[in-house]
Amino acid sequence: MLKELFLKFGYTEDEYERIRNSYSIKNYHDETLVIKFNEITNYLISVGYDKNDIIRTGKILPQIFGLSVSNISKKIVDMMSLGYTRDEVVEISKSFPKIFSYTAETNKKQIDVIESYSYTKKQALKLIKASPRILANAETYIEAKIKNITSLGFSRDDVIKMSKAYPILFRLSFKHIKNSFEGIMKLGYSFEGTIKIGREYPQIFGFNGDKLNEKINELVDLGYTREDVLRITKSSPSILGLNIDSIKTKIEEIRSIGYSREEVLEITRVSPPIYTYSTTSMMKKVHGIINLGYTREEVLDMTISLPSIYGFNIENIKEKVEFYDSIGMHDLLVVNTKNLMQSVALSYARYKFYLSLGINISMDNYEKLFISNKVFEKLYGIKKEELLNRYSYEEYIESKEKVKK
Amino acid sequence: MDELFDLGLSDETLKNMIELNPLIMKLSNEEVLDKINLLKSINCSSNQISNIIGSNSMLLTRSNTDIIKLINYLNGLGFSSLNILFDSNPYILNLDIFEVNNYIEDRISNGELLEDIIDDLDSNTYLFNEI
Repeated sequence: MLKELFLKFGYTEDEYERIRNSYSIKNYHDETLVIKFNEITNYLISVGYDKNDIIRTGKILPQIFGLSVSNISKKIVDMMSLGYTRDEVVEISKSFPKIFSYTAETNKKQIDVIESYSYTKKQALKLIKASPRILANAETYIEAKIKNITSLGFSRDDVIKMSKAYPILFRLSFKHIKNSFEGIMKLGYSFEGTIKIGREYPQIFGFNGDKLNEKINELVDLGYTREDVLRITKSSPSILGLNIDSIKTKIEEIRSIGYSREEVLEITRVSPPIYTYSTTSMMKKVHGIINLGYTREEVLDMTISLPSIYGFNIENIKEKVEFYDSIGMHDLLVVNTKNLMQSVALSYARYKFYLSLGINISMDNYEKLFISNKVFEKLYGIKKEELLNRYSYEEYIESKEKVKK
Repeated sequence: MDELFDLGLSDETLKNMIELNPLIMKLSNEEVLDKINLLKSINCSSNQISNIIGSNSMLLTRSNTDIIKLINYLNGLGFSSLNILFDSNPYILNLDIFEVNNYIEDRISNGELLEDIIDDLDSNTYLFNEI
């Protein structure tokens, strides 16, 4: 009757024999096991298992049919006390039935081991959820993963960092990761470029090679060259995670700020992180610079000349504009936006130096503030470090603050 | 994250930082302090630290080992006043050595001298964005 029950449920004869003769339940009478089988299968179905899940669980962990429902229920509750929802525990147990053979103390110990690798508890729980097998022996598991992935060229720290950002990484087989790595290089990325992308965006190892090639081709179809796409995605690999419709929508949103399509492609080519900014933030940056005394057209021109301006924090832009305003050079950023990049400390030091020589800097001769360090040193015989020490911008700011008070 | 709030950045800037790098939400104070101390070790002032971190939140989740390697590499090339260099273009700190090296090697293969290339990069830090 027991055998019929198992066979009717979906086990093969061989599977039944193996389960029936397993160490933990072979001494039970058939009648007892019939009752336990029915109780346990009904319970597992009630928590979300389907037939295939139960068949799989029985094959991996025959002793489950020797447990009581209250015992299994307690193990689920123990896992929940770690911070999982019931559904999460059920999913974990389906993926790794052996957790039903572990005690709460064993699980806690493995979590402590995981945390010793600088994962927070939250990260440890995510790692376990992604790769429940880690609970069998966390140290061995993690060390094996580190050994495999470092053999590709990543550092140990990289692997830990990657698994924090993408816990599923540890669930992927090494063969899959290695194939992905080689596939990425075949697309045209260098070895170091692939390491950089993998380190910054480990989710890439979850893509299949065809999908990645397709994504690159889609970006080329937008109007970038292939070299641009490889450069853009190396600089901001998360772009590879965006679907092409999202990118197209993003391009239209950025256009609505006031750009032509070609201008959008150009500013994102030069400064790929723009794809990660919301249009709201970009608009706020535009308005922030307008509020510093520029027209909208001027600001848009600035962003085309220097797209990375969208990444600069407004406090810093304001500080620089205020400095150039104070020396009568408000229009500098309109005339040559790239000059915005020079550290205000260096601009200040050079300005003061020129003043000491009786040279007034204005919009007529502003280039003097931005000549190369080598030329400056050759012309005036003063190194950059000495100049910065002699005319300290920090001291100037401190004195300004004192006067305000 | 308290250390981030202590940098004196506006809510809008903090929002932009999270947009660029959502992972910074999970950083501990020690991890943020680590980066601040690293920047202090190259003579960045408080102002420069706020600017660098406020403009490039990717830096906060970059490994210190990689950043130190880059700093040592740039020092070895002859870049001076790295606090000024990074204040001018905070994104330089996201680059790997091989990227800067490849860029320089390309320009050398076009006939330029290393010292001229370094001077050009040091004086026109937007060029690092082309790497």
